[in-house]
Amino acid sequence: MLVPDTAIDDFKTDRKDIAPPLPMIMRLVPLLFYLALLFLAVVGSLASMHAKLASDHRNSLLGRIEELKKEIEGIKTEKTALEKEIQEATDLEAWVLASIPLQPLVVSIIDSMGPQSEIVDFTLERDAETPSQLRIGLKLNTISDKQIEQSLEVIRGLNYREFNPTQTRIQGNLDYKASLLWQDPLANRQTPEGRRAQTGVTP
Amino acid sequence: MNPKQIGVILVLAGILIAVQLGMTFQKKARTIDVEVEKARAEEKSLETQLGVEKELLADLQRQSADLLAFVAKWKPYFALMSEQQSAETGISMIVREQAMLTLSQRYEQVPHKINNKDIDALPLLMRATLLFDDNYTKLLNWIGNMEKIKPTMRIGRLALSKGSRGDDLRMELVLEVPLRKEEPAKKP
Repeated sequence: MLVPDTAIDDFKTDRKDIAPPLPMIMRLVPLLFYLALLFLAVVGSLASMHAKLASDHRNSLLGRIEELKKEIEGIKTEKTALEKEIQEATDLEAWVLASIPLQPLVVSIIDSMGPQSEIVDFTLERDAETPSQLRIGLKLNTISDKQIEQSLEVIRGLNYREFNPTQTRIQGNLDYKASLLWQDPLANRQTPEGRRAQTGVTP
Repeated sequence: MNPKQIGVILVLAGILIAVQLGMTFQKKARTIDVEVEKARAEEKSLETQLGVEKELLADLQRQSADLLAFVAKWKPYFALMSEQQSAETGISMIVREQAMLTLSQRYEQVPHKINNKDIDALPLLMRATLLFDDNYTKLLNWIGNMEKIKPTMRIGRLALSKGSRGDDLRMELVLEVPLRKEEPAKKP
């Protein structure tokens, strides 16, 4: 026997524990869920890819930074070594320039004495704090003060400049004291061979 | 709360988690971007610093070239600290060889200081204090000869006065020979 559809419904009894339907707006929830999954898939994969590339770039940059730091350190070490070498060279140069041979000066001063002049005492002393300076002391037995001028001419001829001179006459002796400074020592960057050739004047 | 409502809450929680995850990935990517920017800025600043350091070094090398070339010629003439004994005997031998009339001779080593400051490159001086009484020509020839043999030696003090005999001179002489610090052995 055929039973019509409508008639079947009539056999059903109402279920008492059935939940009331959700509001219509809640139909959007599954749609939002699928959209969220899509967002996660697209944004997540793009962000991961970008992060991977950026991370590789960052690592290469960090490597380059390390290389640069090492290179800078190397140059700084080289500079420090050079500065030390320059300091040492400056000390050696100062010594060389302050150790100009004195024999030619001594011989010239003695030779500058006129027939009526005689050296009683002659001292040349190097200044301990400024070794390029010499302190000259000449005690002469002479009748004329011109003798000192004559000797100073000779000294100037050898590129020495006198300063702080004092001149006194005690018991007939002329006492002359002054400091001597080699003029323009930097112009005298002689080689050792050049210096050897210059020294050793025949008295 | 009925099962439908629980289901909705669970799905909403899933949405929240998915969005949060997506945002976390994006935030991580942005953090790495910031780090890259920082690293790029540091690299740029280090490259500038490297350029400056290279330039400073080149300037220093250019400025010191003359000085170093000058000193290189003189270095072999400086006695080393290990040679202090030979520097001393060198002078006394020349005194003996020339048969100078020597009244006294004293040798000492003194620290090399200027204005109370140690001179590191030449830390010691071998100082010879000699007193002669001899012929004028012989004495001055001897000084000239010494200055020729030892071009780095310097006269610290020279005092001349009348000698004991007619033409003789009494000469007090202080000679200073600098002793150079040994260079450290270079690494191979």
